[in-house]
Amino acid sequence: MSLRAVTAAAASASRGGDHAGGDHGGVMTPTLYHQFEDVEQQNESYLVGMWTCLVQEIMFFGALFLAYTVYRAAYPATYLDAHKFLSITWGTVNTLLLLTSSFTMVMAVNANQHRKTMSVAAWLSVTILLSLGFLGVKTIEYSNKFHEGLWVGNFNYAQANTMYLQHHGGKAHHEAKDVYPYFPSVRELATGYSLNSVQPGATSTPGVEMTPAGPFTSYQGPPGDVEYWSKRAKLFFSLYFAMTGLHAVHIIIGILMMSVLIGLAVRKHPYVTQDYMPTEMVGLYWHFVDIVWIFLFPLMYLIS
Amino acid sequence: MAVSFGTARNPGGDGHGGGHGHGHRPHDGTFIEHPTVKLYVQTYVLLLILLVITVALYGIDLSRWIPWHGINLLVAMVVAVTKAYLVLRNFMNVKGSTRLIWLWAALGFIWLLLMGGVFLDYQTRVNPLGWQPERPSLIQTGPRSPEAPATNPAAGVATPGDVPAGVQEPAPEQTPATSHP
Repeated sequence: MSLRAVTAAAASASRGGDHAGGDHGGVMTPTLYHQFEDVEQQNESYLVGMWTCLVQEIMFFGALFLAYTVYRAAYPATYLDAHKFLSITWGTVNTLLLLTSSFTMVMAVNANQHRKTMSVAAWLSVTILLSLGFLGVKTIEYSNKFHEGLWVGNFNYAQANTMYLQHHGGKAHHEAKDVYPYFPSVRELATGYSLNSVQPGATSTPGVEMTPAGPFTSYQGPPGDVEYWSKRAKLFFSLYFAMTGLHAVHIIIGILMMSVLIGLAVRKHPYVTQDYMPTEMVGLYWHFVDIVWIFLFPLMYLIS
Repeated sequence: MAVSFGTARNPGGDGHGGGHGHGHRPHDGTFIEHPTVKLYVQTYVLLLILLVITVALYGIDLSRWIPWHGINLLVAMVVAVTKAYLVLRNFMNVKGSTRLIWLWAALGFIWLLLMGGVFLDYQTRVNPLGWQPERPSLIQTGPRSPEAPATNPAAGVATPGDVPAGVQEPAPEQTPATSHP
């Protein structure tokens, strides 16, 4: 007899005659595994396990966010210039979709706790639809990047700039026109050292002349020199595709897990009818993915 | 009313008052308590408001009032952290969980703080010429020239994506933050 069969048998045995079928209300009787004292302890153990998984996910994404921070502190003007290729409209739509999907996810968990099995399936289906919408928008955005020449293999910043200017009627971005504002890095704030402390017109020593070329300057590059920006913009798009791509992979995994849950709910499996922890844990994962996007959105799309 | 499942860890004992999850005992982190639909809706509405604020901030230059150009990023991050906090507290139900879960949920973020500390340390170690390899000759692709000085500062400008020599950096129109009125 498989573990699943044992679980099902135990659950239906403890369920008794009253609760046969997809009943509403009543008390849940999840299978209590022998190593646990009671259901509460068992649930706590589930949650600790899931949070351990999430902690490693935080570390995983955290490293990427650190890479983003290091390069943004080094090349703030490049980030400002490169982000104009990302559509704020699509980014906002995607944030809205994910926030809404988080809400429908907690509604699924809530329905599960009240033993409304069919509602669980319905809320999860809405969540999947919203996340498919998210992936659809991402596909549109990625294919735009491909046509502009910002994709992984065919990086062509000059072409992307030309297309951007054509699309915007020859006008430059409202922020990236020709003034790149001074943006003190954390390093400069901490040390008081700044390249911009050299006033315009002041004759600089040979040593100072070299410094703007170093990798840790806050003000870089002649505006309009596409070749100059191109080299640095590669960094931004490398991080953009790595971080949003990895996030999209997490979305796909979430969709798969929710599909399994819907299957269990439709088949009235005790994992859903007698327990809510499987739904809760998929929910925890889903909210984590949402949180990652909450930070990705302003950091990638809304650089000002 | 909060929904509670299961039995208390120590039924009938030590200060839980034998309430057994009928939602009336104060939540002290010793049992798992579940939020209501009302809280979920409130959280969702708050998240949408914060999303509107996030997008609106993009069009508003806060440095007009607060003379620091990083202010927009700072406020955007504060808003993002608030959103993440709301999701963690209410949607992920860290608030209603046990103390052990609080600790576990905090662990990842403590690690992020440590990482941020390492980054700040790194950012304060100024090297005006940028960090160069100790021996550039080791990473040169061409044949090594024995007379190439390894630690000549002039050789230090050869970072990828450099401004060509002789190109003068244009002066920034905006003056440093300290000179703002």
